Amino acid sequence: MSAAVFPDNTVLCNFAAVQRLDLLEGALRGRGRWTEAVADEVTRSAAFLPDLATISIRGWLGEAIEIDDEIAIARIEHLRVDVFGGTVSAPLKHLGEAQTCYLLKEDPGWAGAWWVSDDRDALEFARRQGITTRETVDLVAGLVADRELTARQAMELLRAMVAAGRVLRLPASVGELQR
Amino acid sequence: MTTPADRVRELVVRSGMSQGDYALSIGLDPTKLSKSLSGARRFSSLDLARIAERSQVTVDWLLTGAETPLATAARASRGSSTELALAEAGRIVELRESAARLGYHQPWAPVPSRSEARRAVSTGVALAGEALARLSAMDLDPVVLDLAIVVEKAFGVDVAITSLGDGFDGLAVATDGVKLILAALTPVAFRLRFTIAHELGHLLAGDDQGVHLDQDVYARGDNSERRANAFAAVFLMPEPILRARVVRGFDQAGFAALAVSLMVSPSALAFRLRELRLIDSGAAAAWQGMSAAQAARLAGAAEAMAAATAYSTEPRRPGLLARDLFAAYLDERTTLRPYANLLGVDTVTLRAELERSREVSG
Repeated sequence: MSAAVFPDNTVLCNFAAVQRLDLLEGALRGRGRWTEAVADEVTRSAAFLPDLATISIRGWLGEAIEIDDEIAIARIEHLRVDVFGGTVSAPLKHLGEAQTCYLLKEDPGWAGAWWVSDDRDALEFARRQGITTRETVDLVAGLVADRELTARQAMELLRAMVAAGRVLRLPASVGELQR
Repeated sequence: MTTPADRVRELVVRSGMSQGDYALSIGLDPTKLSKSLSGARRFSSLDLARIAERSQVTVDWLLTGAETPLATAARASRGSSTELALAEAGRIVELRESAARLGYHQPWAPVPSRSEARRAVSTGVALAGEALARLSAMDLDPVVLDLAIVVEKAFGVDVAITSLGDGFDGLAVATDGVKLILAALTPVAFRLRFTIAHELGHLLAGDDQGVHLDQDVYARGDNSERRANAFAAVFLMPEPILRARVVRGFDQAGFAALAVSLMVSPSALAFRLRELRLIDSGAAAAWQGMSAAQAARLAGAAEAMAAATAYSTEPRRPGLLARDLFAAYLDERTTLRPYANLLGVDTVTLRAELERSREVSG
C-alpha cells in the first residue's frame, strides 16, 4: 500500500502526549504527509507538547505542502467556513482540516490518500465524501498486527493517551485490537 | 485591477510597521513576503490566513478585494454601541452565505410593488396590502403571537430574536443572497412584533442594500422610516379586522381588548383607528396614552399578556436557516458544525441529542 497518509494535529498530539511519536512514525512507514496549516498547528501545539517539535526536525512527514493557487485558496476558505464551521474573522481555525480535505477530495494528485483524525465531525464528513479515513485506534491496531506492540501494550498506550487528556475512541476490549 | 499583493502591501502600510517586521509578526520569513509582494512568489493559503488574522480582514477580501456592506459596517462599528448588533447579524449572514454555497438558497419572495404613490406613507400602506394578500393566499394570519414564523413562511426572510445591546429595536440586512431581520429581545411583546413588521417593511420596499439599523422603530424619521411604520401599522392591524371589531358601543374596554388581541400598543391602535376614522380624535387622544398594563387589566388579559412577554423575552434562531443547515448536514454536504454554530451548542452535545432521539423513535 503506497497511498499517502495525512494525520491531523489531534493524532500527532495523541502520540506526542505519551512521548511515542516514534510509534506513529513507524506506523506511517514513510507515507506520512502534512499541509502547511497542519504544520503550523503542530508548531503551536508544541508549546504544550514539546515532542511535536521533533517532527519537523526529523522530517518524517516531509515538507509541508503549500497551496498557492488562488482558486484553490478560495475553495479551501469556503470548505473551512461552510463545512468545518470556521468563521471569516478567525481565518486560521479549522484551516488544517480544510486544506487536507481539499487535497484529498479535490486534488487528483492526492486521490486515494488516507486521512487520520480523531475528530468525529471531520471523520464523518470525509467518509461520506469517499475519503479513506483512519483513527488513532486503527493505527495502533496496525502496530499490533505488525507485532510492534502486543494488544495489551496497545491498550495501555491508548489509555495513557486518554489519561493525558486526549480525546479519542477506545476499543471495547483488548481483543478488538487483535482483529 | 488590484491584486492580492497590492492589498497586502496596503495592509503593511496601514500597520505602520516595516515590511520585515510585519512579516515576522505573522510568522512569515521576510524574504518570502518580499518575494510575494514583488510577484516572484505566490502567497500560500496559510500566508493569507495569517495576514487576514493579523490585519483583521477576510481571506476572501485579500483574494478578490470585495467586501460585503455588512462586513464594512461591522468593522467600522468596533468599539461602538452598534458592535454587538452588527456582530450578531454578521454571524447569521455568514451562515446564510454558507448555506447558499452549499446549495440551499434563501427562498426570498418579495411582493409586487404596484403603488404609484409618491408619498411614503401611501406606498407603505399599499405594500402592506400586497403583503396581507400574500398571507391570505397562504392561509396565514398576521394576528398570531409568533409573527416571526409567519414572516419566514410568507416571505422567505430569516428572522432572529436576540440581544442587540442597549438602544436598538432591530435591524434588517439585505444583500443579493441574504434577507435577515434581527429583532431585540424585550419584555414588551407588541414592540417586538412592531419591530419585525417595521423591518419587513424596509425589506419589501427595498430600502437599503446592506444593513439598516433601527434604534427606535416608533420614532418619526425620514421617508423610509415613515413608509416602514405605515407598513407595520397596516400589516399588524388589518382594516377588515378593525372594521369588524369597532362597532356601535365601542368603548375604552373594547379598545383595550382589541389592543391586547391584536398584540399592538394602545397608542399605535389609537392612531390607526383615527386614521381610518373609526374613532374620533377625542377618543384617540383619550386612549393613546393607555399603557400595556392598563390595557391588560381592562381586558382581563393577564394570561395572554404573560404568554406574550414569555415569547418576546426568549431568543429565537432563524428557522429557515436552521432548516437549511440541518438539511445540508443530512444531505452530506457539510458537517454538523454550521448547524451547531447557529444553535450555539457543540457538536458532541448536539450529536448525542440527535442520536438519543433516534433511539427513542426507533
